[in-house]
Amino acid sequence: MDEIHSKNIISEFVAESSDHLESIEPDLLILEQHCDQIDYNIINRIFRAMHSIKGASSFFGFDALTRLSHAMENVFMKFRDGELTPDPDRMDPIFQGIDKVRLMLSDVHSSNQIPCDEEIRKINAILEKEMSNDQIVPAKDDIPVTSEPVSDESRDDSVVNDLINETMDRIAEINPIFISLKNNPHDISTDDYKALYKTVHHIKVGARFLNFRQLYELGKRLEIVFGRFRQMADLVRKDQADILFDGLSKVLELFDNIHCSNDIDCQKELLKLDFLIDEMPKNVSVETKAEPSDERKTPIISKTTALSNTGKLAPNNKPEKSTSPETIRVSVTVIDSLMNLAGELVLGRNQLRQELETVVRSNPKLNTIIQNVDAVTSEIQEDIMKMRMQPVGNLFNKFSRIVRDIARQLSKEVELIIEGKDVELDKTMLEGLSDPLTHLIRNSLDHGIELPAQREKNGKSKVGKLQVSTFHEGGQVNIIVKDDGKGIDPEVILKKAIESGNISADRAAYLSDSEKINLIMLPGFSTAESITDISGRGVGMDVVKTNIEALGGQLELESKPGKGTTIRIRLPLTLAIIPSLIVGSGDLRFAIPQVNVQELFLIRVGEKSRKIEKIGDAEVLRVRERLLPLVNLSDVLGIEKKYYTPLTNEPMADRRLKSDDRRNESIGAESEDPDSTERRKLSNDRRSSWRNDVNVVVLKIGNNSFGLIVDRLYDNEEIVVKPLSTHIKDCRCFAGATIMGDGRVAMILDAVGIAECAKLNFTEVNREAHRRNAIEERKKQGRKGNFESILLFNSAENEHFALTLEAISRLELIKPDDIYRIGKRDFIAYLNESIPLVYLEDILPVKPFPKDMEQYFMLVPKTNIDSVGIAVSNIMDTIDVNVDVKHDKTTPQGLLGTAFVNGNLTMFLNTVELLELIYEHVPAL
Amino acid sequence: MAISQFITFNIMDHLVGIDIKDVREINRILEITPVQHAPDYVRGLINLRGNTVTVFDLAVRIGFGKRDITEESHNIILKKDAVGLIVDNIGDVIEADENEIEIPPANLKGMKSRFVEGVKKLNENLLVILSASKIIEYDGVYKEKD
Repeated sequence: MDEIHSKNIISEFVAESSDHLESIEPDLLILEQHCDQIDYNIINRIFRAMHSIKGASSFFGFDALTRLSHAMENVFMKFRDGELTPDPDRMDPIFQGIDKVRLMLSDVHSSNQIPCDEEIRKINAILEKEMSNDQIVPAKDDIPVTSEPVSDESRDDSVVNDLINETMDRIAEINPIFISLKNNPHDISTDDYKALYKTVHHIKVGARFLNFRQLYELGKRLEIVFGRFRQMADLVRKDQADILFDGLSKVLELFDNIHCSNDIDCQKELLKLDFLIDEMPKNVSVETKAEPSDERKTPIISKTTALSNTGKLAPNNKPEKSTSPETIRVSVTVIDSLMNLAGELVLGRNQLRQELETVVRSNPKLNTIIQNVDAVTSEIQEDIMKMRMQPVGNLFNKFSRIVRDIARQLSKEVELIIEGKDVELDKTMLEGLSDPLTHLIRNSLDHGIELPAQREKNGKSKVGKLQVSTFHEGGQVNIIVKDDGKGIDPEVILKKAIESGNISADRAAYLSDSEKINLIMLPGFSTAESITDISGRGVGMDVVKTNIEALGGQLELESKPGKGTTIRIRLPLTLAIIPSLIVGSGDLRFAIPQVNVQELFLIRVGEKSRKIEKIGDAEVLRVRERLLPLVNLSDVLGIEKKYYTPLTNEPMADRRLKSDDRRNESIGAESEDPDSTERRKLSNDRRSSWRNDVNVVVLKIGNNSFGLIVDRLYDNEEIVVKPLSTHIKDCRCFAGATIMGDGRVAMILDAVGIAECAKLNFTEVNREAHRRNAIEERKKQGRKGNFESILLFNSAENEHFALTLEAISRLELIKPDDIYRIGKRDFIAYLNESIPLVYLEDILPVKPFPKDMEQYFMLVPKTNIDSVGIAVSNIMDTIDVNVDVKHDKTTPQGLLGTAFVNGNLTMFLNTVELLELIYEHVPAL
Repeated sequence: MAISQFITFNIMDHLVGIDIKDVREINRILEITPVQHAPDYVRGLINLRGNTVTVFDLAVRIGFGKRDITEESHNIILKKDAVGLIVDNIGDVIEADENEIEIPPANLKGMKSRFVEGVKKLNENLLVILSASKIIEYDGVYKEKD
């Protein structure tokens, strides 16, 4: 039993301490960034966290942990007192120490075996360095920072140390008060004085016990003063506060030199305090004289009552204790089960409500009760759903630290910009994202962002930018990791991929730049020349990609050599909550994500400004001088149409075939339609008849929009998207499913899918459909398809050349006059510089270029070195082809090979080789 | 000598069983939201304590006509892939030894044989054992009916 108990406590300690570490890490970074201007709240938070780790670990006997955290605590104390500035050099050992603590916590039972002397030594070195600079603070060998074993002799010390530790903790808590005592004593509330009182009392008791006389004397006097002041805080004068401040400072000084404290002269302070005590009114001093040996709590309680008796002095400006909101830890399984139970509760409530409906009439009081239960139940469900959601900021915060460490290690300067911290993601998804994102960030820092000197040389700012942003778009959560580093050179990737046998040279020739870059995601791919600490272990992007895909996401990589790399992760909505409009068709309800909804129209019959018209078979609605195509949801889904009578709210079958019949009926008053008589009975004024009103939801797809006619409009609701099983994934009208408030499942409509099903002819719909199909196609075929866009052109008249569009940077029309001839070379002005103009016959065994033409073209291939122009006499076409380019030993360098395109034998240029040839050919500029 | 247990139910004239190990639970959640344009054997989606479960009409899935939902209808929720199977009724749990199970005969009338894992001879009739994993396998070749 006991063992289990202590196990629980220890795991609690570990969890709590880990939390402490996590919470102080951002603080540490802030501290470091603003090292010249210390925020005392922050440092106190750090100090407290470290102290509680230390305290608890010593309680459980985790000595290594204790020693380490104690060493850090000492440093923080110096930071706090302004004796040291937390500059990066000093923070390095601290961060290492923090990491070590984390490591120890991860396996706390064997933490004593984890070596940490090195860390402790470094941390202590911070203090020692300072001491050698600053003679005021004498050596403090009494604090058990060193790793020497506890000897018999030092037993006494351990008690002393306990006192010191505990007191330091208390002092840390009162520190803000301490500061304001000096600066603005009027801000100090009675509660603050209470805290001070408690602290000095504690010191006094300890000092008497350990026979530190000076400390005791000081403590005794201070206790008396604070004891009185706590009842008359607003009457304290500045000069009095100064005396207190000096007294407290002396106490701290004594503490710092506790073993020789009895020899320190504090006569001045004692006298001043005596004077203060004499001067003070005696009327409230009775119970503060409580004997020091008393139970400590007694005076506190009595004082509280005293306070409530006076009934005023509400403290407004208490020192901020901690900015983090209160939390408790709950296991995820509990939350899951709660979530389900809440669902059940909602169902039960709905059933109850239905059954009670009959009784309500006889007992109207029930109504309010039901409503109340209703609201509460909904709220419970909402809140429980929220419990699983966490802002991505929780994850992103740790990146600051990673970026700092790596940047320092690599001597790079990096600014991390985080955007969209508030976007919420399901906890499990967030956890799954941690590793891949960390990896991406490491990659960016290690391979992407250049050294400061290099950056300056390239005309970039010295400080690299790394941007991590999150936002909702198109019903997905997007995460973008973007750096402005050197980017990825597609050719380097290609070379490596061929070397490692991931791709054959033949196939490689057809790849576009972006495809080449994407080779980086092949399993086992690494470009790193040497394995570094940070990244480049050969398990790289493929792992990232797999991880993202395991979460149902997609990863896109985009890179411009020299400019930077952008990685976009799209995560599905699964478990992300999206606001939606609920609509009805037949008996069924459907959810439409709000992002797709542009506007809503209720078209009343007879309304002149808006009516449904017909073009051929298609129904359209005139909106702001534009025709909006209309689609009936029930038609698309093949659901029997219904309307709801406003009187009884009962669904009735709709017999019209087209919604625009409503208009015809209203105009054709003498219609023979038997329905119309029946309808007349139900409504006095046919023109505003409910049966003829039409609800139109305008959905947007890109720049296009269309109207969706629905039978009924319900409320807006926040829904949690559930994924569709494979069996219904092919139903393109749906993006997912959700569970409604009443426990029923509702489908989520997909605007693009509906437009497609309704055969609306939007370019964007088509494009989107095309894109989706293409993705499908590609998935099916693997990477078989080699369709590429190529440019067909001539140099000499009858010789045909081809180059993939991907490889072309620009095509320019040039005149012979623009060309300058220097020596044997031609140059041309291009983008404010002169670049060599190359004729293909100079480098390839082809016929000469006809230079007598009045104008011709210059083709500038994409390159990240020096631009060159290739003279082109005629541009034939750009086409998409899928051809087998023949490459054999006779193929000259600079060519991929030859193939027949449109019946012409065409030479496919290999830009890489071609450029190499050109650079060889044209002497360096 | 492994002994398996099978949950049994009737489809048309057949006594059909599914290995109890593949079954998460049996319930009567029959508030099914239909999914338009879905394969014919997909009856729709249900809410199983906060999770959506795709429900099949098992009769349609294995080659019979669509069944009406009655008082006797039950929903067998499979462990894998959150799929539910609507069956007309639930019978006994029948035990069968591994070597009692025979390969399915060629003439299983009206039933798609690929879903059948084996049969067991009972006193009066045959128990047709279905493969849960085959049933939840997606064919992928679904064509839209326009």
